[in-house]
Amino acid sequence: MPPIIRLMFIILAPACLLGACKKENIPEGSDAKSGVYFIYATTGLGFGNLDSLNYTFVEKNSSVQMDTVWLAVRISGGTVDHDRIIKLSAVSAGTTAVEGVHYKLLDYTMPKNSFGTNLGVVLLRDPSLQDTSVVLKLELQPTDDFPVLMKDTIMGDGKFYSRNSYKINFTDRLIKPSNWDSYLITFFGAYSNVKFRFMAETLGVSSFPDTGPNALKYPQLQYYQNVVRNALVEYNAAHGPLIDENGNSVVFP
Amino acid sequence: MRQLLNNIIRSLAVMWILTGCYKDKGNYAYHTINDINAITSADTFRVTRLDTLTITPVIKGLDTARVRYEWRVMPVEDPADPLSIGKIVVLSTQHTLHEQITLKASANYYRLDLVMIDTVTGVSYFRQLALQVTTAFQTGWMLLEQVGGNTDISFITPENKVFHNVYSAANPDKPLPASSWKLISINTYGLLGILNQVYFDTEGYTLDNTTLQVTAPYSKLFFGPPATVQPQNVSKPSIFSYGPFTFSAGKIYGMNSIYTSTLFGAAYTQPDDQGYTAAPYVAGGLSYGAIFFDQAHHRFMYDGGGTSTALKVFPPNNTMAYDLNKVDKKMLTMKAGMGWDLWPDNWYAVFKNEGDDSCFLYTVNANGNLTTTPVAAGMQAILNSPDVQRSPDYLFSSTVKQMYYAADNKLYVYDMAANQSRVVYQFPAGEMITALQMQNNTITAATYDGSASGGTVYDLPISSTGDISGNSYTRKNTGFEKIITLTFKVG
Repeated sequence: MPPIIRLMFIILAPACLLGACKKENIPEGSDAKSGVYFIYATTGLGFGNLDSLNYTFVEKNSSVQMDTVWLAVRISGGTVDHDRIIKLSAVSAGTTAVEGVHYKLLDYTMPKNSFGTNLGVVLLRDPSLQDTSVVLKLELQPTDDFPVLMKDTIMGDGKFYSRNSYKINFTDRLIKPSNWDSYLITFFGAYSNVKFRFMAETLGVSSFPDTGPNALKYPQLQYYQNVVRNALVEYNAAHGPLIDENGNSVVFP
Repeated sequence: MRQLLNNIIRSLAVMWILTGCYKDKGNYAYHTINDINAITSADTFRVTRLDTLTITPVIKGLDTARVRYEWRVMPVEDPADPLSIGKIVVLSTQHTLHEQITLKASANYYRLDLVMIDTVTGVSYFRQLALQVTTAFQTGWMLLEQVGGNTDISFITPENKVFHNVYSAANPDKPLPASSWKLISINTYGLLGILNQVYFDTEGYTLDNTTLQVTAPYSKLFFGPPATVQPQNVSKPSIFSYGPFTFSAGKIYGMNSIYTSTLFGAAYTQPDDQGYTAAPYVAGGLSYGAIFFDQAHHRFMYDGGGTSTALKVFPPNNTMAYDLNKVDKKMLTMKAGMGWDLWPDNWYAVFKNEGDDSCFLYTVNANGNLTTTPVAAGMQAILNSPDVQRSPDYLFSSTVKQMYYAADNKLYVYDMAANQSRVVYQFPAGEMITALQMQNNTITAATYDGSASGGTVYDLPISSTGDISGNSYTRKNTGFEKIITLTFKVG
């Protein structure tokens, strides 16, 4: 090694080593831009509907004309000391629900110093829902407060989700249970729409599976039978006989 | 030098490879298999907690001397990991198990394994047994006492051991309200097993069968709580009846134990637009239905049997002993009479005129089709029976037509055929009978003389004539407070 190079090496090496002794100022928080994203319910895991929910007015009392479903959201990035605007809008592609007729969106904010909140979507019980079901596809939009949208992330069901969108399927349509004539008829008698709607409103239940993981056992169905029979006695005493769409009085065995 | 090193490496490699050709002569220490078997006097053992359990198994095998023993029990709650399924505990390492059992008492069985380990081969052999740990409170008389401003439960075992205030000891944070008035223990003949309950004015407690700890409020034993929670009774009238039934604020609720339910359903639907307020009693027999009394409208009702939950009124019938739809009296009790207690032949109902003290005995036949069977089997005014309307309870013989009742310090037997009563036992003056029950042809009566610790419990065996055998009690336990009610806990 030539002497000149050896000299330079001897001089520069300590300088480089001393440079490592400089104290680095670590920032207190990430300077990443903020974002907001949906928290999907894990109850949908395995059913392919993490990013959607089904709702029916059938199980609500007839006096209920609107209901609010709550969608949980969370932020990425740090909290701030003021409320921040969240923008949620319907996506025209795939949405069949009509704003003002079937649903209403609200003004949404992320409260100050919060990591999460719930966004309420008001579902309206329009008569048209008795004949059909509608889809409301929602998407989070970037705002000045939350300029970043979440990228695809893999979820528990092994699929990728953007976590910016949510789908609500809702209806007020009666669907006769497929096991009515084979099983439920024992407890509730012959089917009619009026009877089934009365049952659903009274029990808050419109599905009575007798097989599968959520199958109802005989005593539970018998309990339901007894509850609707007693409710019908009260109804008939207050309003006169409940008549179904066929002109027959509703009765439970 | 390098050449020498290469030669050495090559030589060692060849030697190492050649060792693979060595023939294994199999010169190992083989041991004869030593199958071990254990014979015990039973497969299932039951022991009272804190008693000593002794099991002496007979061990069979080629060489039992080389066996090491472990008596393992599981699952045992682990306080350090309460959410775990439980741990395995070794009770003993001796051939004979002879240990005091401190395991928690439970209605469930522990698995008890006798593990026999061959110390030579290391092979383990298992003899699987079941162990139930009970408490002294498994079977015996439960007494509901007034204690200070509250109430409490005491216990008398079949061995005549007395345990005072067992409820408060088991439930120090849940004192029984002063309004507690009824204590019940029944076999539901279903998944629920033995049901023990204590009632107070607007609620009640279900008690664990071995520890007497509160397991749940009364209202939690329903799919949906009753509209008005005011527990009155729970009863399983026969093994054929759908039930058990419970009564809350005059409404009837059934538990479909035939279909393995452990919860009561909704209130039975009224038979017509008049509604109903049920007396808290039920009769049942070979028919699947059950018979109730609508106190509000003075009529008997029945359910359709099987799994029906709608009440019906009986069809008009003028050929029976009385009109089932018109009994204008107050029902004081309805209990099984003659016949096997699993499906009694006759039920007796005691009624009292609402305007005076006259009492009447109605016989109810609950066997057969309730729409065609002569359910109204008999009726007579109860004559020559002093103070019959004041009895704290009414007891019926299962073999003869006799009824026992009490008033003040006297115990009476009412002879139905003669239609008159006589005193069969008399306690000292001032010692009033406060409660009475019958079990195995013996009347157990509680008395109270008004003083502190002035409560006493007597056993009075019944002779074939209906009198008290030898006109004497066979057991007397003193030192209780005023006993409100008592019930035999069926185990």
